[in-house]
Amino acid sequence: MLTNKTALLSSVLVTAIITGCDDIDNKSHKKHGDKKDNTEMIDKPDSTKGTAQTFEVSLTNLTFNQPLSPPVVILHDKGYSAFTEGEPASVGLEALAEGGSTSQLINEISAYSGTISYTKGSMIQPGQSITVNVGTDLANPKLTVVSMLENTNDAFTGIGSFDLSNTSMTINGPVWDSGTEVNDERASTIPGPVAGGQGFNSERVEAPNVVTFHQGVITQAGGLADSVLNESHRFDQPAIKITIIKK
Amino acid sequence: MLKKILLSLASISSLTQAAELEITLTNATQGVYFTPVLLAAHSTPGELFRVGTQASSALEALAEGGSIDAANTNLLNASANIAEGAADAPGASDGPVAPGGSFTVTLTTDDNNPYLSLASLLLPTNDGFVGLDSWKIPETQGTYVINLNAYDAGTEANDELATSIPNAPFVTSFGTPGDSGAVTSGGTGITASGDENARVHIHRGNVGDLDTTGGASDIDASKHRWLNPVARLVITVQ
Repeated sequence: MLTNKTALLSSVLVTAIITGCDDIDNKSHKKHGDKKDNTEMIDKPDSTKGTAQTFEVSLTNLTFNQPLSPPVVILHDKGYSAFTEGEPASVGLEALAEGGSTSQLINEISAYSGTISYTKGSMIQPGQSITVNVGTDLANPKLTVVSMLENTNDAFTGIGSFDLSNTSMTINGPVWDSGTEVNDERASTIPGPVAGGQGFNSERVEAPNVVTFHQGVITQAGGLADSVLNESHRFDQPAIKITIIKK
Repeated sequence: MLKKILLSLASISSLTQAAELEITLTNATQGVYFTPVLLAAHSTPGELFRVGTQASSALEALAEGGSIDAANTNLLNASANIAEGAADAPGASDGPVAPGGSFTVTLTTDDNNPYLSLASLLLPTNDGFVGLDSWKIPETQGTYVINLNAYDAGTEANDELATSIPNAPFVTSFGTPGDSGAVTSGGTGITASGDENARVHIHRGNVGDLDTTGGASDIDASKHRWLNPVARLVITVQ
């Protein structure tokens, strides 16, 4: 009994060392937890990978009036890609970009056969910041962050497969269009607080149906009478500040 | 070759040494003026501004009225190194920087001032400014190019009315109203702008219109809009 208790305690301590104290909703360690033991990862580092490390990722919403949906912060090997410009979006990315839903993207992450871990953050209001920790046992992980601009049809921001060899840095993320929904700016198709319309719809636009940089929104101020958006919903690049600190 | 190696070794070892910088700023907009540019090296991030945080009153004065005095004083009190132009005119730029214009200035930084920041009001805007937010000056010699974005100080609603935008002499002198830059009048004001984001953030741009005597905005939609980036900064670490 005592032995078990001690083992439990040391396991808790190790987890605390890996994740830091302000860890919120860190799914990566649940994933590692499936392997039963974090201690082993530290004591016997896999030479083909690296020692376990944790990155602290802070995200700041740089827009004026575009709440950012709960972001998914992913550390992964080079085989994974959440999206590629000029290529069709996955259904998981489509659901995130159209409706802010993370469940399908997380299903895709869980189904990936390589090394991957992620943390889901909370919604980020304009001007606000959140900080999440995400762990990995990759020596040189790639970072992907995705989050929807909620008062749009299918705009998202973040960064894709960013090399984390230089551990601590600050980068800005642009606004992409998932290419999966027409940018009609109408209330019925925009899920954010301005409209409360439909989020994810599995129907795809015929063209271009590929991820590109976003063209911006047309608002009432821009002359589109049935746009549900007003001038406050306009945005320019970039939309998110990403600060990465290796713990 | 040996010289080059020695040189690079020297630069690597000079982690906390003073730096000699040559800096060129180019206004890359089509029709937006920069007011006198405040450019300084300082000791900790965010001494001039920091995105995602509330603007200081000194930044507010700079971003709403183009006045660099308060920010200058604050930075001097914090032992910053402030770039001054050759002429007896305000800012590193010796006055305003016209669209397409540029200036070059040198700056010697002290040991404990490793961050470089810049701010200048964009005209015509309510409280938009071009900014560099606490860029870490590299220890390696070379030339670095940075594209700068337009920020919103978050301190004033963007109503785009002439009455709430500084009527600086150079703005009125460089063109007739509605022509090559000056703001017009008679607008009813761009609405719907509250304080959704009262912290420093990326500026969403001017709306503008083409009505010189009325409409919603006093800003010319054909001249006073932009997309990021709005400026190019070239820094040579000597």
